[in-house]
Order: sequence, then C-alpha cells, then structure tokens
Amino acid sequence: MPRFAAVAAVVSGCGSTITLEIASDRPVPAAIDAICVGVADEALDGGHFGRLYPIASLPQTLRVQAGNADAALAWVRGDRGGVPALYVSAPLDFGSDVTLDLASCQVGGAGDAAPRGAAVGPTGALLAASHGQGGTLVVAIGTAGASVIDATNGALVAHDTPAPPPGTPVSILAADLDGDCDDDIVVITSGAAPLIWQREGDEFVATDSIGGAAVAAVAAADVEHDRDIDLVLGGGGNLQLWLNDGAAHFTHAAAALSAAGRVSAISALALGDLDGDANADLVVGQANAPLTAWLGEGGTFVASDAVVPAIQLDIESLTLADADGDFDPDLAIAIRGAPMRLLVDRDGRLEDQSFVRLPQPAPIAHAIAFGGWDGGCEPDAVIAAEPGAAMLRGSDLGVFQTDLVAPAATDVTMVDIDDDGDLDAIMATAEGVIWLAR
Amino acid sequence: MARALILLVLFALPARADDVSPQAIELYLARGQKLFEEQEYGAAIQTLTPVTRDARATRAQRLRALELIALSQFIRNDKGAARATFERILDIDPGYQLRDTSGSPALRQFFDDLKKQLIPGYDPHAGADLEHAAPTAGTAGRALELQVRVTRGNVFDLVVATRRRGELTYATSPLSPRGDNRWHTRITPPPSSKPYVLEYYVEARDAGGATIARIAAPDQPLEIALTAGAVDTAAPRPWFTRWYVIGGAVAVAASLGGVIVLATQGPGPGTLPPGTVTVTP
Repeated sequence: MPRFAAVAAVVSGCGSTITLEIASDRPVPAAIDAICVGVADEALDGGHFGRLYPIASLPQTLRVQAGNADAALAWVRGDRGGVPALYVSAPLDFGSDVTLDLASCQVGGAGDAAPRGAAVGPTGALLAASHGQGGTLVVAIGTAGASVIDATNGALVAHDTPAPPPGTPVSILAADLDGDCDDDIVVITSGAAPLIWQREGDEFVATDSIGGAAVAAVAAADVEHDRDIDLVLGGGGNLQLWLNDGAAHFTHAAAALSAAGRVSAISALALGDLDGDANADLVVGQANAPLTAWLGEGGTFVASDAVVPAIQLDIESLTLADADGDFDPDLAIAIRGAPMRLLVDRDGRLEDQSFVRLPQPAPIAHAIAFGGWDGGCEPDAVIAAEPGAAMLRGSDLGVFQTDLVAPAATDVTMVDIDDDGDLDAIMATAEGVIWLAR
Repeated sequence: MARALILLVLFALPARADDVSPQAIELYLARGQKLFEEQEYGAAIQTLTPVTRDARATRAQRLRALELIALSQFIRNDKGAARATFERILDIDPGYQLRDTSGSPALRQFFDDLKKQLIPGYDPHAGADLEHAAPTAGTAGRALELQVRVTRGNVFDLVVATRRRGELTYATSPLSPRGDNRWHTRITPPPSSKPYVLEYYVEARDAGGATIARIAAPDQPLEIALTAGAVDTAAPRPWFTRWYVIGGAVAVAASLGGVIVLATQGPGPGTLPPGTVTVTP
C-alpha cells in the first residue's frame, strides 16, 4: 500500500534539504524513457515517496527535505518500453546532494566472486529481487516454504513471508504493482491462481489473486503507458493480458491479447521492447513447441512471425536483458536438458548467436541473470545450472569469457543485496540461498 | 633476416576479431567461397569459421559462411559435423533455403531430412505469400505509405524497390514488421514540378537474403501516378523563433532564476513534480 500520506510537498527549504539528481549517459528516450523515483525514511515506520515519471531528458532533480527523518534511502528504476532496465540506490544523510547515476557502464569489484556468509532460506528455490523501502530484498520460494532474504553485517538473513499458495512453485516475479516504486511479488504455483504479495516496508502482505486458475508463467510491463505495471499470464494454449488499475487490481483484457492457436504449451514468458517503439513486446516460450512472439502496440498485442526464429525448444525460463551493452533486450533461454541459447536483438529481430557469444559447449541452465559486476563495462552473466556453470565475463568483442565456476543452483538473480552500490549474485542452491560478491 | 621473420610472424597471426570490419568479413567470405570452388574444403572451413564466430557479422554473412562450411563437411563425408552446422543454420533461420547451386540430390535430401526432423510442419516447397493493396495515386515529394501482409511463409526481410519511370536502377527501402504479419514503410518519392510515374516492386527475403516471394518484379513493376509536388519551402520563421530572441529570453529567465535562488534558503525545487518532498513530515 503506498504511503503517500506520509509525504508532503513543501514550498520552502530548511537546513536538512538536499537535491536528489537522477542522471544518466544513456540515450533518452532510446535507452530510458521513464524513471520511478523512490525516497523512504531509513526508519521503516517513517515516510515513503515513490512516483513514476515519463521523461524526455536527463538529468532531473527532486528537492528532498528530511523533516523528521535522520537518514533515508533513495532509489531509481530506469524503464525502457514499460519494462525495468536497471536500478540504482544510494543512502541520504542530508549532509550533501546526491546523484543517482543510471550509468551505461555498470561495474563491480575487480576481484573474484566469492561466497559471503552461509546459505539461508528454502532449498531449490525460485528467486525474485525486490527494491524499495528498507533496501533491496530477495524473495525465495521453494517446495518447503518461502523466505524474504536480506543482507546484514556481511551475511544473508531470512525473514518470514506470507503463506505461499498451495501447489508446487512454478514461477515468481517482482514488479511494482501499486505504483509506489517498491517491487511487489506475484507468486505462481501449480495449485492456485497467481497471488500478489504487496511490499510494505521490508515485509510482504498477501492481497489479491489474479483470475481463478493456475498458470505456468507470468511477465510484467506497462503495456498501455498509463504508468502502472500490467501482467501477462500464460499456460497451456492460453495467453491473457491483465490490466492494472494502478492499485494492484487487475482486469482481464481479452480483446488485447489472444493466443489465437499459435501456442499450445506455454512454459515461460518475457516482456521487453524489442523493436524500440517504446511498447513492450512479448516472447512466449513453450515446452517442446516453437518460440513465438507478439509485438506490443500500446495496449494491444499482435502476433508477429518475424521477431523470433520459430525454433522448437523445451524452454524452462526466458530472460530478456541487455547482454551485449547496446541497451536493447536480448533473450537468454534456459532449455530443459539442452545447452542454453542466447538470441541477440538486431533491429528488433532476435538472432541466435549462441555459438558466437557463448563459450561452447554452453551450459544446461535453469536460469540466467545479466549485469555488470566485474571491472569492465560490458554486461556479465551468472548461470544457475546443475552442476555449477562457469560465470561469464562480458568482453569488448561481444563474446563472453568464462570465469570461475558458480555453485550448482536452480535460480539466480543479480541485485545489490547489501545496497553498497554494486551488484551481487544471489543463487538458489540445494543448501539454501547463497550470496556471491566480488 | 630479421625483417623476414617479422613479416612471417605477421602473416601467421590470425587477424584479431576486433580488426574485422564488414568489408573484411566479405573478404573472408570471398576467400572461403574461392577455396570451396577450388575444392580445398579443409582450407575453406578454416577460412570461414572465424566469420561464424564474429559477433559483428550480419545474419546473412554468418549464414553464407555456415552453408559453405556445411557443404564442405558434407562433401568430405563428415556427416556428423555437417549435421551440426546445418542445425546451426536452422537455429538462426528455420525457413532457410540452401544457396548451393550444385543440384546435388544427396545434399538436398540430407538437408530436407534434417529440416523435417527439426522443424514441425516443414514443407520443402514452401515459399511465401504476400498481400498488398497498391496505392492508386500520390504526390511527388510527399510521403507515401505502403503496407504488405505476409499470409504464408517465413519472411525475414521485406523491401520495396522504387524508381522513377525512365530510370534504370531501383532504390530499396526496408519495411518494418508491425505485428499481425503486416509490414509497413513510408517512402518519399523525389519532388518534381511535373507529374511522373513511380515504379516499384516488393520483395520478401529469408534470413540469408534470398528472395522467396515478390509482388511485381523489376521488369514488371507496379505503378503509381504521382502529381507534381515540390519540397515545401519553409515559410518565413516567426520573429520569436529566431536564435537571438530565444537566447535573450533564456538569459532573462536565467537571471530571474538566479535572483529567486539567492532569495531562498537551500536548493531550488526539483524538476520532477511535486518539486520538493518531505521524507517524514
């Protein structure tokens, strides 16, 4: 539930007032066309401000007055085509102005990745990263339960979540469903309709279910450019767009998206602006059926055979993220029992460049995460695989180089779990959730 | 002697991938094609392999290299390697049609069998069908919109080729996919003080760049009768758009802004609404 009541616009400054600047060297609006700016008291019972802004240029600024806050956290999410592209956060001590830089060059530590602390939380889990008041969290859900994972004093700690819905966890998604710039959670299981866990500070509260039936996959984007995040649900041969009213209440928009017989065994969904028209496009992965796509047209989706090669794969998960540093989303595909694929976005069409960019043989992955976490600017990758797979370092040649081998894992996310300004890898293993940092 | 050694080393070193420009990739392809035609299949594979691994090679360049490598492997009776290479081709473009002009029935059979295994519903004789409602008229120098619908087939690229009647060569413009298998482009015929006829045809290509369908043809183009039209001559610019007026206004605004900032405590309100927020009132 957003706490806008705790925020007040003021007309004059005071001693504890600073300027929060949001800057970027990325092209606007080609690489960033909206920003979600959040500012929240470090004390979890304090105030919270969050708002999504379409932008035509950067930098932009916001004057932030402490009021009764001693310290605060500011964060910004940069969106492209209605889909988050990157996050940056910084603490505010109200002693000096702060710039949140959505830099095109995202770097991490120069050293080797190494585990921090012990494994916590459920084993063999699915992961989703949530940004918001209280800092960055990871929600882990496994067959034995679920946990909210945070980092404290250099180690992960696990906190309680609401009771997961019945059935086996199938998918989990983090997205700002209520427009406060905090990421809420959508939990997908085999035995219940998708359930929303809304973020309140550093906790989650179960709220509404979406639809009345279990689904196999979910993806999120602001499909109709009304500044809230909509959801696409899929399962079997059924594909549905659910429109958000801005307060995390969803309505099925049957006329806006239909599977129309093009799919029969949906297993994964991904949304991202592939053709650079500022609309989120939809890629649908299936179990032993061809990869397919729909182009977004600002509120509706139309089928398109030209976007992805109709290769028949048994797809476990899809990741649309910039893998080659050109700000366009590329598609990483985890395939059951077969080497992962990497399809690179070239002028709105996804081209299989697995053999070009991935070390061969490519690992058999459960999930893939991208982000800049070594000393170079190029995006790097961490792969959840059994047994463990080599982490990948991006290179200026566009080809990933192998790094150390990460532990065996079922899922991975790259997120700044300790809010120190650089990315970490959070992996779901048979021992629990672990933290790798450089 | 020392110079000879250095030269030898330079020739022996493989070209760094980041030195490879699109033109250099074309050179590799031409060299590989020549080696293939000279039946130097091992050397052809060696020459073409870097192209398949270069991230900057276009899709068509990569497919050309892969096909020549697959053909070389097939001819050398390395069926396992040929199959793996053909699979890479079909991963890039499930609708790929072989460029090979040898007409080898064994090769065609091998490739078609592989396609049948990998591509559900594969039709070896499939091409593509296009629908297009031709515009009946237009104006020279003014944008003209064209839309084409692909009703069947695996089309990677659609282009429209246009020329003014009487000219020999066509200029091509790509169409962009817009969903529902509709492709769209906007072309602006050259301005002219006299009416003229614009000739055009539409061509569908697969990922390798091969033509798989056409509407009309270079020697039998469609026609649009264009009325005379020149590029709009710009109207005199209003006084308030002149640079010195804008510059003066900016200077005045900046001065006023400075006065306002000096007159208040702390930083000015931000550019994002509501300008100022209080974290915990």
